[in-house]
Amino acid sequence: MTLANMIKKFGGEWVAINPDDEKVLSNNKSAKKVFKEAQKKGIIAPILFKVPTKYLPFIG
Amino acid sequence: MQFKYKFHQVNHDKIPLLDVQITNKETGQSTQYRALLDSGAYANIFHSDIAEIIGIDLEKIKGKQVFSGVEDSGRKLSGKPCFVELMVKQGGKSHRFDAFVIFTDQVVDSGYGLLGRQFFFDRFDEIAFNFPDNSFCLRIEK
Repeated sequence: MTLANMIKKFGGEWVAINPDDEKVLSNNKSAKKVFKEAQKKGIIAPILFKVPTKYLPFIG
Repeated sequence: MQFKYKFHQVNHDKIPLLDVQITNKETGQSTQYRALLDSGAYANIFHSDIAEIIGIDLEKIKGKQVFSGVEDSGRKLSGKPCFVELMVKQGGKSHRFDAFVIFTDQVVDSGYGLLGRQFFFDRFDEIAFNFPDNSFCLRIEK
């Protein structure tokens, strides 16, 4: 899933991403829940990503 | 050894997001975290939720790191510094190193965790962005 689509669908939430195919395994406001749900699906070390609430050019 | 990645793109903005594996050196608990490569950041700034995931109790860390960004809101930003192990991997290649990370719950909602100069950029011989090729690479001599 592209970052733009991820922002549209999951903005403001944590997602767990399968490192092998980039598919979103779980999403929630809680990082812990997202992590545990991904592990239940067999991915021991998923990629955790806090999806920005919206796209804004980031300067920092 | 070289690691090469594509930018993530939104509109015309090519964003260098990178997945790093982060491990609690005391317990061995680990996960992967997607953060922004940011040479403008002094240090690595991660969401505090990640500390909880890998079993780091931030309440027990007495030190506090104060930092600032470009905004002039007068708000002081701070986080808890901690040593962890970071690893970049791709295919069969990997590069791991001990790193100082500041965990904070003050990452702006429209922003990202940051991989900064201290303990990330300085752990590679070269980090280069190639916009025409839509890629960025990290190189380490081994």
